[in-house]
Amino acid sequence: MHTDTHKKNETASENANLSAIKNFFSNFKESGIVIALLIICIILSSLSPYFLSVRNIFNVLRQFSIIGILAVGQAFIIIAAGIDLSVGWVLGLSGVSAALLTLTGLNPVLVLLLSLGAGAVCGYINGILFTKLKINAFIVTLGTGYIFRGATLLLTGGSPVPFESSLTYFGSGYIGPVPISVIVMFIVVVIGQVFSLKTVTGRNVYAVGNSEKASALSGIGVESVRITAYVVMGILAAISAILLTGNMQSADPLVGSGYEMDSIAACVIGGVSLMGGEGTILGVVLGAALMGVLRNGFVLLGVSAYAQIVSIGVVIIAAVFIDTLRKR
Amino acid sequence: MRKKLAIILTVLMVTVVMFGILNCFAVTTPLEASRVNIKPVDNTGNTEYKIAVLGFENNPYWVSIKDGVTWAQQNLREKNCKVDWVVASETLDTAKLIAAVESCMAQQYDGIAIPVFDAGVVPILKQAMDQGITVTTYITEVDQIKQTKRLALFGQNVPAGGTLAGKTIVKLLNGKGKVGIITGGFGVASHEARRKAALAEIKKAKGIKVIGEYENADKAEKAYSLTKDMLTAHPDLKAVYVTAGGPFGAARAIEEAGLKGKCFVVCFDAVPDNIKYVRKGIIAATIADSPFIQAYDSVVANYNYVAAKKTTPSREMWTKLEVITPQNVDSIIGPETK
Repeated sequence: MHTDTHKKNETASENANLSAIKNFFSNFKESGIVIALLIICIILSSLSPYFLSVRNIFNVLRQFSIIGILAVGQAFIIIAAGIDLSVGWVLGLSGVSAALLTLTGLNPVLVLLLSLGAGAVCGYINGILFTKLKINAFIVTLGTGYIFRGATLLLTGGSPVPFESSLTYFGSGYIGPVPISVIVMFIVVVIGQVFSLKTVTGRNVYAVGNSEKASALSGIGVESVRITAYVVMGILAAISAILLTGNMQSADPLVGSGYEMDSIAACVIGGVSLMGGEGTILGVVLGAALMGVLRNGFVLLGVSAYAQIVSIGVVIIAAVFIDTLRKR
Repeated sequence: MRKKLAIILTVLMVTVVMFGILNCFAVTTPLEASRVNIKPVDNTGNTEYKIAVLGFENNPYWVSIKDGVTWAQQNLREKNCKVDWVVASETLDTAKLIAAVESCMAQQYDGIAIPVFDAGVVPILKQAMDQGITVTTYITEVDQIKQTKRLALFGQNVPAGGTLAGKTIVKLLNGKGKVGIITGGFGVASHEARRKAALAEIKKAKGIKVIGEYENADKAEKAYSLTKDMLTAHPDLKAVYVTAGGPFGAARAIEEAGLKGKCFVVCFDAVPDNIKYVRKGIIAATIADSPFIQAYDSVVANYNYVAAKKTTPSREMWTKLEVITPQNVDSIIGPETK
């Protein structure tokens, strides 16, 4: 009798532990991506003695900081059931604008504000076309992407523009061992996380993504929420442009190409639903981190470039699969 | 208030765009004009000819190409020959290059000067030649075009450039040390030719170890990140060889790591961003191939054949390969201007 009770207690205790673990994973939405990231970090640190060195950790953080910042903006748009395929070209246009304005001898603060303004205008145009003209976000941003790309190439004649300004400090500077671009990314992530979880507008983004009709009936300004998301994306693209071109001290008109797909990939890996209404800023930055860690690890290990491309694809699918399992 | 702000920002952006557009029309003085090899023949019948020069505009290399075309344009105008600069695309896109050739055929140009990076362009060029259009190639060409009636190639002997880069690396390293390789794209024939030719030379030196080969898609920021990673994994890295665009990103990473004098870059092209780091001594050698002269000569030779059936001395007119180093940069490029 005593043994039976003891066994029952043990089973109940095990069930309680399992249930606690299960609850932890279901409450902690980013658990899938964290596990994937930890596994990859453990493997890489066992294969390369340099992987966990302080210098390399900051290298990795700096390398994914741009994608991290862009992915935060992309996440807001996707959560609000939109998408932005023009982000790379907004980045290029903002960077080139900053470099050209610097050549005119304008005050760096004014250059910064105008560059951020250029990004905001691009985002505003995307938002207006999507919401007011009711054109599909995919098509709108594909079209505006071409326009922004064309404008950037017209501005530069296809050649990089030297960017020599005190603003380059943001892209190339350090505070102690920490690159400023990493600090900027953390600030953006913290603000993004707080904005998405603690503010009315932030919660409205999720509501709009979940159900446009229900949101409108509840009195939420669906259009203004979406326009705000695109403007935020534009500003974040301009911030990324200052960091990226500042580091190279040269604004290449094609500098942003490919970043749109990387930012979308980071969102998907980080658990943002392409259908809208779901995802977290923390998850998104972890998604960007996963991609950054992989790319860095492959170079440290001297993995063939062909194998790198295949591996990144496999890991993206695996990470999303782990997240899908968690949701089940 | 929001509307007013949007209007102000839009006006500012349009101003910036207009500034850039106007900037595009600035004409660069042709400093290399005295070094061109082909002289235009007289147009005895004073027949009007037109030649299209197809190209891209995705990096500063094309600025020098365009300057050469502009100089040919000015010189051939008095011969009653019109030269048009046709931008096929802002990226190296074969399909768009084919479309541009088709468009030139439809417009009945007498001659086409074109870079042939990809064998996919060869069939349409054969059609153009069958239509009576004279074709010259510049920068580079694939082997398949050599079997056609194309007049001549004006460009760098790409494998020779790669070999020269390899020999330069071996010499600068005194035959020992670690080298990292960054190539533009493994699928780009000219990048591959440079990579393989340099590797063949590097492998002859038993004391040199190649630590890895990576792609940067011609982007400086990717070259920067790759070099930082290579320096982390191999703090004793001595050289980075960049086959295509963005080598100044690698130079920037070396500069930032405080490794000037301990690690260097060997690369191609005398574009301003590269020259800046040559002057700093971080790019130890950049191999230049006179894009201005390639472009000018390919257009004028095309005109000479169209107007007088004058052929070139050779079907492969290689441009001179110049190794620009911190020691000779002032004499080749000129002193630094502030």
